[in-house]
Amino acid sequence: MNSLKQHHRPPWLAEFLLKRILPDEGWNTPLGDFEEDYNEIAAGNGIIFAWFWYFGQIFNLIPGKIYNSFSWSIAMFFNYIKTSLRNIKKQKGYTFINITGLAVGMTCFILIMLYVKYELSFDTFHKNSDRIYRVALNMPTWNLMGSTKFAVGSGALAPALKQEFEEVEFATRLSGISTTLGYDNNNLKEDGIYADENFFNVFSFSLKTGYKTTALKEPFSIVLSEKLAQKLFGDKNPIGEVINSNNKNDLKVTGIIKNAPENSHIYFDYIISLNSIDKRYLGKWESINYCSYVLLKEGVAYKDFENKLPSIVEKYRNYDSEETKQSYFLQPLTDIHLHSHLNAELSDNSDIKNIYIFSSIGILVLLIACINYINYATARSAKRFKEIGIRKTIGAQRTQLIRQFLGESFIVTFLALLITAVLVGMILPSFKSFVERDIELNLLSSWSSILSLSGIFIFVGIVSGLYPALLLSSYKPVSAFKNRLMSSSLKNPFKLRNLLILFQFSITAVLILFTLVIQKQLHYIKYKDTGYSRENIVVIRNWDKNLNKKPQAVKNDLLKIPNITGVTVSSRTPFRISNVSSADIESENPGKMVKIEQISCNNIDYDFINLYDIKLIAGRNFSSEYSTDKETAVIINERAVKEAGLLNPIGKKFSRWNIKNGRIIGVVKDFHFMSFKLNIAPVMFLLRNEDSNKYSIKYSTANINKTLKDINTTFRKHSNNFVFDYSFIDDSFNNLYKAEQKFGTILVTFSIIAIIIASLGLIGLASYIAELSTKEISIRKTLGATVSSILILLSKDFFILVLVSNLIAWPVGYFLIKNWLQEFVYRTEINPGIFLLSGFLVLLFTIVMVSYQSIKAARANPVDSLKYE
Amino acid sequence: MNLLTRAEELILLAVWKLQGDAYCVSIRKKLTEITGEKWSLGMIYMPIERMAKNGMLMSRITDSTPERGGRHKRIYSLTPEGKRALVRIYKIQGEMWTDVSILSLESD
Repeated sequence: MNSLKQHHRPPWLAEFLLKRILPDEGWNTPLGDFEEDYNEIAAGNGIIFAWFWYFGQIFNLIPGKIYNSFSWSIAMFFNYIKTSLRNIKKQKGYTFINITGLAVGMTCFILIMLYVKYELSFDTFHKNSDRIYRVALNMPTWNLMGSTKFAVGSGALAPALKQEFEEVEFATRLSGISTTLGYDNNNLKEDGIYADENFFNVFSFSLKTGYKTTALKEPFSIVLSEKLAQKLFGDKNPIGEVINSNNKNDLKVTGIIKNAPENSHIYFDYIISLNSIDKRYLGKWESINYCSYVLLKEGVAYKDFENKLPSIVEKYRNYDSEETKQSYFLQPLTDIHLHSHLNAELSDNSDIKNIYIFSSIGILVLLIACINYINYATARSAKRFKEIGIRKTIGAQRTQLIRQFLGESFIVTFLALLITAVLVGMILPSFKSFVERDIELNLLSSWSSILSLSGIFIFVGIVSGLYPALLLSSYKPVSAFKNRLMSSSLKNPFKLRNLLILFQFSITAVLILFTLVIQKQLHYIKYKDTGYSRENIVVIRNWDKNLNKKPQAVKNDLLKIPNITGVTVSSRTPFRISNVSSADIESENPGKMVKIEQISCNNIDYDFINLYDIKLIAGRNFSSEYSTDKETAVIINERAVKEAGLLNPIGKKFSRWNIKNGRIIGVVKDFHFMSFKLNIAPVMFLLRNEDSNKYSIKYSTANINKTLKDINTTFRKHSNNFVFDYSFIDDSFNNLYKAEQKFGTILVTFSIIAIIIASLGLIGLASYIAELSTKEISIRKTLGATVSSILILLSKDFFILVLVSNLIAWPVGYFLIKNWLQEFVYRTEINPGIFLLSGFLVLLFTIVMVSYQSIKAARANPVDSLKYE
Repeated sequence: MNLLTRAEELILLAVWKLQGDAYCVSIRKKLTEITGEKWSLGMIYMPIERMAKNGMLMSRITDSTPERGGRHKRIYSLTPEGKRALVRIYKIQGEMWTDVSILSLESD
């Protein structure tokens, strides 16, 4: 009794832990041993000592425990690897197809994700990027290029915001500029910005030399990028040197900025202090030229702040009528690159829509590759019945089998991942230059990329391996030994494998359909008559203001160059005429004027219309025979005639802010002076040379390089500071649709990849099914079946699947296409032909992929496969 | 090499001496008492399990007792093979110790 009274139970937590660690041979005798010892120690050295001793035992035992479990799982792991490698070796062809498919799929996925990650990273490098907002402008009465919203606003806005609202920590404004910079006879034309002294308070661009607080304070200060400083000054210290800009202003270098990351919507090679701009423009509420950015104080909800903005309009622009009233809204800095498509953006922004499309394509291509694996693994399961049966009879648990088959898919994925790493490394440089993004790849250098790589690895391994593992491990050993093969046919429409094939082919069909339509639209853009000639015309943009005063002399000299057949000087080229304003035109009611809200104006000379081959449909061209043309003559387009409701436009009075007593002397046929995404708008020509800095030169094709050289020399003769800035009209035209072309190329590439992966799968499956039915085919043939009937038997099911997948793909594709084409006002038609063509293409692929294996099987000599029975 | 280690030898001898009451705790006590060294339970478990696996020991489970928290005891006893192994090591040691004088070993 006494001994019982003294009995102590060890602490329950320690006992619980100890129980996990100690081997369980069914009776827990070791635990009893420890308890007995515990009591003895408690009796001898006291309960506290025993307590410590007991816990100590746990730590004593852990190393052994770890070693033990490791050695066992490692043993099993090697066993799995051994059987997997054995299987891989036995099925070289299938393994090759699987690994290739997965590697290509993962490569696509990784490249796309790198791109997406880069796009999402825009402007996030600023320390306070979550508190910086751009204040954008909405002017309901001014619809430019289909939008009334502007990225720019008045130069007076930012200071007013800082003054009126205590929520604003700093406010800055900037505007884009493209000018020539000259130092020591070294003239360069570069893109930069004007910015005020708060620029560095809002944004986290860092200076290499110079002081953030003062660098942009003084008028005519300039801060250069490292790159530009190197170009202009070489190794010389540029601080304090004077640069000449555009032959006009002398700018003093006050700082060097570290090369800024390229994932920024504000991109520049130099910053000129905003004070250099005339105060009269800067402080004017009417002149909208400046992007305003605010850094809000911490904890300020930007929506609340946005709601206060109308008070600024009330206070400073109270002279507006209700209709012309402007309003301001905020754009979070990090949203600008992907979500903002306003007028006068600082740079070409991307579209979040493309990010979605690309991400889905990346995932779909990866899934197609995974499906290949699933289909093989399940199709081949019959071959592994015996292995599964034996493993189960010997005592393998289902979870162990699942682990084994998952392990196999992980091994295949791992091998594919190694190839992927090589592929990504190989393709990335060209991919980078193609998407024009400075994507960096350090697969193993940062935790996040290692994490995402392992994420991809685990995802692919599980997605492709889980279903086969569950399926294969569920077989009963009895049926495995009975050798009842799993049905190999594709007839059961609800079998998962068929659904997966259906899924693969639907995606492929949609991609093909989408690709075809995009190519058709690009073809339409390329060959649609724009209404003006684009061939053999080079445009020189002249930045020397003095030169623009004497265009005729330059023109005459240019015409002396043998290969040049025509020269015209204008303020705009025909594919990008802006300068929008309203105009009054005399209507058909005598004396009454009608107003056209927006008409774009281009200042041209006598040769413009002829050189660009723009069709005159009424009246005449400008002519030197009429001395009044310079003052009063106006040529408008059909659209303007229509908008003014004129029947007889020639001779009608015309007035606009830049022409008072105009007369319409001619009407030109509508031509596409804006993108095909917009309707043709009213346009007018004046015989002027204000802002006429674009020399369009028509040349004959021979030796274009020599011609360009001659052009350069000619200009240099007239201007010491000439910077040769030229572009070919058809290139510039194509640039308008660069985004679409890129998109088209990317889609074509990924469609082809998707098709390749899907057809790899098809080849494998077809050959496997042919292999399984060798005996059936042989017996049929001995009984008199023809090769063609067997061919039909083997491939029929595939064709049905392809047809059904087309039926699924068509409506989905139609929806996508319609959505995409909607952006274009001028667009190709969607006709049934294109659907049939895409269906035919998918079918053709299937025939090519399936028929080889099927023909081989169908033509085999039945004796070969039957003689062993 | 297929000889018993010193720990194995000592444990087997302890099991033989304890005769029917040889379980881990009692073995540990016996060994601590005779050798004067500290023996932990782990030092006994490992070789005892190994020897049980190699067929030199067999075990049976007794009824549960309250001083063990209601747990059973595993009582070990020698198998013929275990006895043979002990005899063999005894013979080898006897052979080795012949003509070695303890006195001359201790004198240095």
